[in-house]
Amino acid sequence: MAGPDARKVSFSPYLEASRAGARDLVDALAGRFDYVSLLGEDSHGVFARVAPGMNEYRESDWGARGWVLRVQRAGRVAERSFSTLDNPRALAEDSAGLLESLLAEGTDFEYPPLLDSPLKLSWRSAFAEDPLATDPAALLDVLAGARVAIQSAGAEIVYAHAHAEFVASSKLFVSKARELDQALVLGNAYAIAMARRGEISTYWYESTSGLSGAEQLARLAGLGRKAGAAAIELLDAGKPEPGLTDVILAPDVAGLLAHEAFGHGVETDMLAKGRAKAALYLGKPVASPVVTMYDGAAGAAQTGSYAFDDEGNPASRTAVIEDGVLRAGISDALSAAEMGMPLTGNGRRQDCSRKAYARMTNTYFAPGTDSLEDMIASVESGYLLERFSSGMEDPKNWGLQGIVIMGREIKAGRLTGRVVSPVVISGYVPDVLSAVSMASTEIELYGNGFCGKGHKEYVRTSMGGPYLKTRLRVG
Amino acid sequence: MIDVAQREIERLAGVSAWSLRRECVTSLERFYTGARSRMARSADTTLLKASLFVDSGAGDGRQRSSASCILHPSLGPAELRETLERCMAAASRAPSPWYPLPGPAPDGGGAWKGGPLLEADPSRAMAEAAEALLSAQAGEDPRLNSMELFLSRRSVEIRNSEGVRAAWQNAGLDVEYVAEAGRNGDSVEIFGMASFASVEAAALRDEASLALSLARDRLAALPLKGAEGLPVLLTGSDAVQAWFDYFLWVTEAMAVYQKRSEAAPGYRFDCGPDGDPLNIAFDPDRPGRPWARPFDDAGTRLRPLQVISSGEVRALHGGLRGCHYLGLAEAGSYAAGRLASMRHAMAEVDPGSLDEGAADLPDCLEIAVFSDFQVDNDTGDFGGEIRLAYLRRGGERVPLTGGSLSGSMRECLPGMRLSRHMTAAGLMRVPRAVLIRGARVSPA
Repeated sequence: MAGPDARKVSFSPYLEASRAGARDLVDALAGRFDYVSLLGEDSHGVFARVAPGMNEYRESDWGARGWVLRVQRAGRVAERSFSTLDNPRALAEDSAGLLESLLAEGTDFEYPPLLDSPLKLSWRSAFAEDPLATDPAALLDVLAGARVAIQSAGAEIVYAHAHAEFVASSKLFVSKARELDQALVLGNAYAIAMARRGEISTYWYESTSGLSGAEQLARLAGLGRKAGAAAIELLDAGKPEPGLTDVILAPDVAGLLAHEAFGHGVETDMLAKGRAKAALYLGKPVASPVVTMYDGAAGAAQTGSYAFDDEGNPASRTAVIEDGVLRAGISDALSAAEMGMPLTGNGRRQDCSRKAYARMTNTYFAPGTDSLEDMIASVESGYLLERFSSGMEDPKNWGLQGIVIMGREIKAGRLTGRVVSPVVISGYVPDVLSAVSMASTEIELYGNGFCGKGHKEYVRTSMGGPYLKTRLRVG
Repeated sequence: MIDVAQREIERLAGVSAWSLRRECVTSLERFYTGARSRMARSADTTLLKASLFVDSGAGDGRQRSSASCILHPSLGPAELRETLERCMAAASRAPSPWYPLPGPAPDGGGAWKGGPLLEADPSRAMAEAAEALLSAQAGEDPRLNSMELFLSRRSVEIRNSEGVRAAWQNAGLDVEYVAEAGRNGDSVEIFGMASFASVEAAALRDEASLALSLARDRLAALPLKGAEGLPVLLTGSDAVQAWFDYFLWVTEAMAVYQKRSEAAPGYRFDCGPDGDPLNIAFDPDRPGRPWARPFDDAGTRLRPLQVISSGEVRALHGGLRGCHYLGLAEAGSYAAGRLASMRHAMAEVDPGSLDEGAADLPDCLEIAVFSDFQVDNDTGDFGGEIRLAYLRRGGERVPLTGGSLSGSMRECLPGMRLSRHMTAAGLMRVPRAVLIRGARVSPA
């Protein structure tokens, strides 16, 4: 979070200069289609890395500038993505023909009319230190410091690396009835350690993230020390005892559970295709009463935050599960229209050249009332699971899978000091969520990953929660 | 615009070297639920990236620093100049040990064109592809729940200060699909994705048919039990691709230079006396390969390269920087494709001796579909939740679901056997199955 010295992010001069042209383009097409909208994006950023033999400073891979036009006629929907908006009138003529042909030949599905109620909105996020104006050498010095901190953990560290990425993103949305603009800066940074002893190699990462600027790097050296120490600790790791067992999920692993277990399963485009079991359980219990889970770009200041989505709908916070009962899905505009569900502002694109889907934003479990110490003391035999490596959803069948880097063994209510790695976790989502019996009082969100729809269409998200005690299968 | 950018860069003071890469992509996209297209999209995008390099020092202390920027087609002359000047100001602030940029290939570059889809009518090709996929359905169940089709044409040009002038075009069809099978209100699905260099109806139909049969088997599957201790036969293309991709990650020059990997030339992967020999090569010139290309992103000419021969690392690959730091000849980076999972493309793994369809195959757990099979390239640990497996015992093949697999490459390589049959997995060609011992199977 930006502190008291925060400054507002500036809106893209390019998009500002294009505003009138964007309105001209939409107006020129308005008479030919029932619905017309135009989204413009101007994002640029930096990626900086310090690794063995390498200082790197380059444009972020999230840098993008482009436009996407969406139209609807007689229910059918088509889109055109393009790079420049030089001559709106000529572009309108060219686009009209192309979009009419796509509507006629490329689609045969009729949606209800897309919502275009009047709305004006202008929003800027804040930061304390502008990462794009920071001297590259100073930024690399901070990363080099984190790298030294990783290496200070011991001689068994064979690889140490720190990187940071910041993006300034502006968006302009224009439709017949709406004109919205927003500008934000977000970023994240990693300290990555690898240790080796004989044939055994281990890996650990620590990270920081936020809807903020370079001020978040102040934590990085401390995170580097933690990363190095954890990688060395893992050199003595054993293998987990396979089977169903009590576990305490650290906040990042709880976030993985939120994201993979129910986040994907309540994306309404999955419901519209009949691909999500959640459709049958709306209003029904799916978890223990301890469990409340949210998703929303407006729900937290993290890397999944914004004021309006890529279809021009305002961000919100959705209570997906409330006191154990499945309450709502998260929607994009098309599936919300088709299913008559509320718009939640979750229609997101990887960039303007891609389609919008219903996507998660900041997804997290609400805090509980327990202390971590009490939670550990309540476990007869099990693991404290820390640091997720990967996960995959199964919204149709509610299977849960994740890989966690470290499990700390708990016996008779105490951490034994023994660690295991890696830990493959799996289970049936309602079983895992129904078994949640304790949750700690503080939550933490991690915005250091990307979320794919299947294996593509990556968007920035955050996820997290409190420490959660549940029961699942480890292997 | 690339000409203008080059002129502006050459006017900048203090630039020791530079490179420009422009990629123009035109694509047609359709999104189906069942046989109905819910949306059609068209996309025309251009991306021009500039990298500027500034050298300092001399001899062993010579250094190279760089920065990069995106030059959007919408930039006016003043904004273009300003963007390059900002990039130049940053370019001297990130010094690393010196490394060269690629020079021109001896055979130039020419106007390399790949793939019959460059000449096809996109709208018709798209309709034919959808029809071919849907033709795999014999009735209402199992069926294709949904599919996404992307037909893209890519035109790439690379220039640098060392004289590289590379340009090529290629095209491909990327398909993502979900097969579904149901009974008594309960249903299961199988997710898949594939890339094609042309609209081959038979290949598309086969892809969908396999997914439909796997969905049908997943529906009939029993909870996985009783497979602990059995050898594991990996047959799903995702898992097989990830398995072989591991060997390509650890033989990247920069990974070896940075000591993330120990697989320097001469390193031996221990496949044991009973294992099949491991041979992996890159073959960018193989006809019919989707998303093949003649140069990597830096402009290095890609050529056939034997990476591993009989388990021994013969050559490393990757960007020129890592190769130079290790004192090796440049090899190039063979990544390609629109889909993120297709990291190492154009690779070929030799077949082995295993006939996974043989009746006398030893008892094993054949795993056909994971939810997401992952190999940690740093540690060699692998694992995944099992969505569909078959317990193969005494000539029977019983479908099972649930549970998980975990293990480490170090423990499972000895005795690894490879199928004698080949298949496409992502953008690689690999043996259709891998038989391993020593992995842990956790029951459902």
